[in-house]
Amino acid sequence: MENWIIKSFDQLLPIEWYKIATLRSDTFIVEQDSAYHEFDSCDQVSDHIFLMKNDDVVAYARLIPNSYFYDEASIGRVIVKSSERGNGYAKALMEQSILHMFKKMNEPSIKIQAEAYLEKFYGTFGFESVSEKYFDCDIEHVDMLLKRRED
Amino acid sequence: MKWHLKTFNQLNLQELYTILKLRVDVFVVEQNCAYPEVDGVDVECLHLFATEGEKIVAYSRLITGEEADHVSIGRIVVHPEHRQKRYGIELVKQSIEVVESKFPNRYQKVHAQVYLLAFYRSFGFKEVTEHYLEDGIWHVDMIRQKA
Repeated sequence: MENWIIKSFDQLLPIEWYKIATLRSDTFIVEQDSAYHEFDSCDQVSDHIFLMKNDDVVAYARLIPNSYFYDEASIGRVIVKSSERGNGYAKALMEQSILHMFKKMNEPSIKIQAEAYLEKFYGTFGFESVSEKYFDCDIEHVDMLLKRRED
Repeated sequence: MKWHLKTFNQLNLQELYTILKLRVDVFVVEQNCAYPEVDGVDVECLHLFATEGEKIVAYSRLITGEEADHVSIGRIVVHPEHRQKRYGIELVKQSIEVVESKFPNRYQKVHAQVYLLAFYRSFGFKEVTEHYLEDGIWHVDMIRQKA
């Protein structure tokens, strides 16, 4: 069983933040060739979920409370390190993130700005598309919504 | 303006966050260059920065461990809201002074962006390479020896 860590921004150690920042920069700036504001005002208000392996952050997402990115809560910056893909970490990352947001953050719904090529992947967790496809930073996106089941 | 010099381990979370955000906002976004800004080297660097109130207005990192004969001064940046106040000059002066006082036997090196050639020359840096393209931006290596 992997050891997923979830911390508020203030709980992060500087070295943990540095490893997260490196992974985010490597993935969203370099790999996706997008010169954009990777670090923004959502970082301080979010919870950060990550998986450590051999002293390295290999999977990550930020869990944004409602009213910051969207009116609804949101999961963003979803990453599995390139060398660690194909191990099922993305599925575990999403499951852990959704669980935390519904149970611990007590959010009634989660809206994500999904990269369009991952629409089917997010659909497997129950997310449904709620917008047309559109381009943001030259990458095709679609907004998707997941509501907490009251059971 | 207050100057601070810290090892990586001496930086607190907020300082580290603000530094990395400033660097990405300037070197990635402003210069439109999608390159590995957060590169793993920072753990081994000295970080020099100036604050006004809570704000970091100027920053550079000193790479001390790469080679024994010099110290590289890199990621030299003034916050966009604090330009045209000669902070860049003060920043380079401070960076040189730190190297000269802490590493008196080493020369200083910068991977200068070519449009800043005259700026670095004014501190006594001299070109030691041809101009070359790195991440789509023209650079030239420059060194400065103590007079």
